[in-house]
Amino acid sequence: MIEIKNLSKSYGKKDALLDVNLTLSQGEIVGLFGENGAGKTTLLKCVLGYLRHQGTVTLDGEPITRSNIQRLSFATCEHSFFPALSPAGHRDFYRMHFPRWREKRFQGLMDFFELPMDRPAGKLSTGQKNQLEVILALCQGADYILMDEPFAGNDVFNREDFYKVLLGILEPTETVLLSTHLLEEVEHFIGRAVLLRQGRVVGDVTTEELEDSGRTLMDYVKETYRYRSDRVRKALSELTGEEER
Amino acid sequence: MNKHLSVLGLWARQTMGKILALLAVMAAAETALFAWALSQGLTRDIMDNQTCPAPVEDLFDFAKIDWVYRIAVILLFVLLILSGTELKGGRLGYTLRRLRISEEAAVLWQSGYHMVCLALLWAVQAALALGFCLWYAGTTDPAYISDQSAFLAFYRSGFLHGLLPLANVLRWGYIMISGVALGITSAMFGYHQRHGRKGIAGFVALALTLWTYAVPAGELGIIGSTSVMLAVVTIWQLFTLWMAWKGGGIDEEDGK
Repeated sequence: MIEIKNLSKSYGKKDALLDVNLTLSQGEIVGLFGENGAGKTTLLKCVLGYLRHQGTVTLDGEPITRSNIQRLSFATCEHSFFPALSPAGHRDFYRMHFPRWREKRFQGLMDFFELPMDRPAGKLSTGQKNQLEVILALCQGADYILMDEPFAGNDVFNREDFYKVLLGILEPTETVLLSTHLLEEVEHFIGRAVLLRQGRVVGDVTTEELEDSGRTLMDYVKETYRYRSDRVRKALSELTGEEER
Repeated sequence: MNKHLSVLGLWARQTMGKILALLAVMAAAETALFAWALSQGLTRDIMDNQTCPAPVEDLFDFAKIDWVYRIAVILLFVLLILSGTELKGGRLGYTLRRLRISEEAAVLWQSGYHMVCLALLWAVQAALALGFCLWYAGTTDPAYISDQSAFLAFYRSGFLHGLLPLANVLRWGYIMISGVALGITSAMFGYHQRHGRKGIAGFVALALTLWTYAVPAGELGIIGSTSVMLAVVTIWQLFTLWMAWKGGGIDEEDGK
């Protein structure tokens, strides 16, 4: 279990995260939502220990250090692979460093997405780079797979394929924390949604609770963010009025 | 040990092809320039308005072999530093921080690999220089050359002496120090860049090394003082790495 307690992070005078408390149990698929700048990426990087922060992050009660970081993997839209290395080169290298490397899963996913095994990763298309990034994160044998907007740049069919494949291959012990803007697309894929706003957790709900209350994820998000649906209409009428004058 | 060797392999796989291509281009360019210099029939004035074939070091100067070598050193340096940076996109630092060895250990392996690459460049250049001397000896009137011609050229020419300093122990020491300094500072450039800092030490070491390539054989003061400067830069970089390792290697991304 990953436990985040009183996590705060600031960039200079700007608070990126404020007193975040969150628990991720093994086997969950959690969506992490929020506007740009809400702190989603910062939260993931703090969990991975990439950023200095206040508060604690523990994995099964232990702080996350070099000794247990391999139980976490990370897929980011910034891409964490080596651009000059081919997928086959990555496989050979990762095998040495991630002892629980999932060879069968790697081969299966590479075949499914028809990625070239010997082309340098940096020369793949944006969509293919995203696919490789996610494949590498899924195959490291990690218990907790953190994903930060992993499908930015992929087409809708491709993303849908990926969600389906993910649901099919994930083992009950694997946990996914997926940060994305694509609410409706992941609604049926996730089991729980966490909402961030201005660095704070403002919502945390399971999809079961949503179903019971007859709301969609989008309804929940709008309600939590106090989204004013008449805002656009008002703005348009004001703008139109100005133009008429 | 395998996990360490795999990191060494990681750096080699990323750059070895490009480095071999660079060496081939350098060898081809120098061979063409030296052949052109040989074809010019260069001479040197001797007493009573008489001339003799120019000594081999004049041909090296005329063909600007030292400039080709300098350019090759700069290109190699750029190739090496780019392999560890995130300047071309991607955040390979995220993966380097999750390996079975520390990122700092990976940087040390990268430094070692860079030193091997620099040594390879030096060895190819030294072999080319000796080959050109043999070529010169085979095409020049035997009356004007002796067994000592190449030996003397490697003392008289600052570039050739800097390459193979013969019995000049201080200069051999300098070659070693500059190789170690360039290897470590070039690897550290990527490390600093990945952590949101600027790694100018590599460029300081490169500038110092390039400046002293063609220093004449007798200039021991320049070589000695530059060696000290390179050693200081290198020790400072290693100290930075050690401090980061002690601190757990946490990212300093705030500045990015």
